[in-house]
Parts: sequence; structure tokens; C-alpha cells
Amino acid sequence: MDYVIELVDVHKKLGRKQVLAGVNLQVSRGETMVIIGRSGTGKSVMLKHIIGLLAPDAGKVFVDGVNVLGGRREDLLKMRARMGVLFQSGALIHWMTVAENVALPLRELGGYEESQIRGIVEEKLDLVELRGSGNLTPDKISGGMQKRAALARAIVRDPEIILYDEPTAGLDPVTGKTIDELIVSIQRRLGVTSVVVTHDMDSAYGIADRIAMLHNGLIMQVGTPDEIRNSTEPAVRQFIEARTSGPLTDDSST
Amino acid sequence: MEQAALARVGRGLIDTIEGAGYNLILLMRSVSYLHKSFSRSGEIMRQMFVTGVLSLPVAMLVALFTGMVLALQTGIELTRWGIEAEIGTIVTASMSREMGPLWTGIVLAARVGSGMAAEIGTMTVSEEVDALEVMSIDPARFLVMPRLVALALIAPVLTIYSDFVGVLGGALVGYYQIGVSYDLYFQKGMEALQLIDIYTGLIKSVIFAVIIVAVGCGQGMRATRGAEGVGNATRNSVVVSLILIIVFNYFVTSITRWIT
Repeated sequence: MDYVIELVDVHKKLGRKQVLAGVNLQVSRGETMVIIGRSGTGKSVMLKHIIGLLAPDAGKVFVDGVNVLGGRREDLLKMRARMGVLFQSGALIHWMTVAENVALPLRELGGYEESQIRGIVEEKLDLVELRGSGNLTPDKISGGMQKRAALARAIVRDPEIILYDEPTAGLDPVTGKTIDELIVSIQRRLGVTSVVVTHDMDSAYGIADRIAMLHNGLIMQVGTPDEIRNSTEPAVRQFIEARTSGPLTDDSST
Repeated sequence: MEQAALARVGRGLIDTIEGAGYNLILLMRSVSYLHKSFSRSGEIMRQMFVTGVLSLPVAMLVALFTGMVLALQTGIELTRWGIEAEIGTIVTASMSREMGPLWTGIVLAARVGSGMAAEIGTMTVSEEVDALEVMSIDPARFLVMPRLVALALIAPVLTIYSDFVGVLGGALVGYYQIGVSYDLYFQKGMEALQLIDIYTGLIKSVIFAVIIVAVGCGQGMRATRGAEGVGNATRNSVVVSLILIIVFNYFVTSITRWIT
């Protein structure tokens, strides 16, 4: 099987908390994998392992068969050049305009003429429906626009893999839906492999090829949206039905 | 109980050493990008304005009153011995050797170092620094190097201004409160002024600039836990910078006295 991303028995302790306790997950080429789970269960920590921002205490993370933190820094940088990441907060550089933010990876890495950069930036801003907002700074635009600008920056180098950390968190339902549609349209247009971390089930069902549920540092179940919807696993049922009592809340209270 | 206290001390010590090591590595990485300063010239100019021009009023006010109080205190004592004209010598020597660079360093640590820690700390907790890493942009080159170059260039300029304004403050107090004429004050001052003192002061100001940037940016990059973490980083950056500035001030003075 052609796995683009593979996590093998990944363990990570942050402070005194064992956040990941042997995570195993495979993501196939062109697939959109959605990771769900309660807040604080380590979904974002998993993403940071895939980008190489965190190193596992034990276990390995492979991207296209290459151990993410197993080689030289140059190899890691090369691997990251093939990835785009949408951070939860957008993470736009606060003193730069939207257009400068989107152009940043191209300008900093070099190899592009200024006219080329302007063309690419315009194209990506069009794609996320932000034409005309390029001259605004992040503090002058709404949360939804910041997410879209950050998405434009994430795709500016036409990555093969895109990682989304809570793309719809903090957005109103309409803007959240717009972001979901953008994720799907980018996946179709660019044929990328995507990993999306969310706890928004409507969003998960709308964009996922497969959904993985993370709980107690382990992947509890992986399946298609229909398989998750019809899951008999009590913790999965509690999560998707948003019930306040059940194994998820019992575990966290002990 | 005793074991827990010992563990806390040990953890504190390890954290301090880790922090110092982190700041030092960050500094070395930034220095390794100095040859790329030209590509970040716009940001360097912006930082020179923020750190230098905007710090000028505070630094000048502090220098003015430092020179004034030096003249007043020494003037009162020297009048008893009838050698009050020597305040020109004392204020000029003190300002150029010690007070000018030291107070400029302190003002920059409080105003600029804290600002760097707060700004970069906010960038860290809002994932902007992670975003740079992910885009294969080294934060040491993008964030730290421009600040390092800007402050290392602007701190000596501010120090010269401080020296001058401090001496001027001393002259005002000498004339109006002690009764020393401007001519005599500046004549004594010029006799006391040695080039080596000015050089030493300028070298000190560059060292203080490096300390302020390494500590301020390092604390910011290690900020955790949202607003509280940014607050801690800001406070720590001022405390650590001030301690290092005062310690290094002594050693640089000792070394230059020993060499000359």
C-alpha cells in the first residue's frame, strides 16, 4: 500500500502527561484523513510530529517512507517544502500584509522573479476568495479571512501534503462551511494528501475519506465517515453524539 | 519535604542552564546569518527605528538626570575642599566610562529587551514561529538577526548621545547650583576625556546590545502557556538582561583597565 504518512508506535510525554501512548496511523496518497478527539487529547501534537516540530519519545514517523527526524536538517527542510500547514490560529506574520504573508515562502526560499510571485499570490488569493484583500494586515480582517489567507499561504508552493489544525475552530457555521468547501476543492484541484484535525463532526463527515478517533493517547478506531457514524464503540458514539456522560468523560475524571 | 525542596532547586538550576544554553545557541545561529544582513535591510531599518529612535527620549532623560545628580553630589562635597571645578572632570569621566553605556544598556533592556520578549513570545504562543519553521524559514535569521544587527548599530549611537547629554546636565547643575562656569567645567571635562574611555563605552554598548537581543529573543522563543507565559518571558528578559549587563560592565571595565 502506498502510504504517504505513517506513524508507527509513537509515544510522547509532555510534562507529566503521556499525550501519545503508541499511536499507529497510515494515510494513503490523495486521501483526506480526519483526526477527531476531545480537546487536549493530543491531536495537534500528532500533527506536530508529522511536520517534525516535535520528536517522538519512542516510535517513528515516516513521510513517503523517510523517517521525519531521522536525517539531516536539510532533509527535513526538503520534506517540509513539500508540505503546507494551516495552523489553528492562522499564524499569519502580524506585521505583514495578507499578500506579503502569502508570498513569504516564495520570497524567502528564492528562485522566483518578483512578477512570478505576484502572479502566484494573486492566483492563490483568488482560490481562497480573498481577491482585493492582499493589502490588509491580519489585524484588519476577520477570523475567517485570516484562516483563508493562512490557507493561501499553506498552498502557495503547491504542496503534496496539507495538514490542517482545527480549520473551522472559532468560526461561525457559514464561514466554517466555506473553509470545509475550500479544503475539498483544494483536495480535488491539487490532488493532495490531507490530514485534518478537528472536533467538528459536521466538518469531519463533509471532508473526510477516513476518520480516526484519538483517545487516551491511542487511535481508538479508523473508518470511513459511514463506519464512524455507525460505530458501536462506546467512546466513539459518545463523541459523535456529543453526550456528556460515557467512557470519554469517565476516563478524564479518573 | 527536604527532598522536594532540593528537587525544586535542582530543577531551577537545570532550567537556568538550559535557558542560557538555548540563548547562546540562538545567538550563534543568528551570527551565522550576518552575511545575509543585506537581504533583511528593510527589517533592520525598521528595528533601528523602533529600538533606537523611539528609545532616544527616555535614554536622554535618564542621562540628563544622571549627569545632574553626579554634579550635585560631587559638587557639594568638592565645594568643602574648594575644588568644585573638578566636577567637570568627574562627570565627564563617569559618564563616558560608566554611566553613559550602563544607563543606556539599562534603558534598552527595560524598553527594547522587554518589547522583543513580548513580541516574539506572542508570536511563539500564536504559532507564528512554528509557521516560520514549517516554511523552512529559520527564526534565527528571520527574527533574531535583524534585531541583533539593528541594536548593535544603534546602541553605540545612543551611548554617545547619553554621554553628551549627561555631561550637559552636569554643566547646568554646576553653573546654577554649584557656581562653576561653563568654560571651566568644559575645560576640565575635555582634560578628563580620554579616547580609550569612549572606545570602552562603545564596546560595552555593543556587548549590552548582544545580551539584550539574545536574552529578549531567547525568552520570547521559549514562551509557553499563552498570556501568562508571555508575561513571564517579558519579566525574565528584563531581570536576566539587567543582571548580565551589570556583571559584564564590571568585567569589561576590569579587562580594559588591565590591558591599558
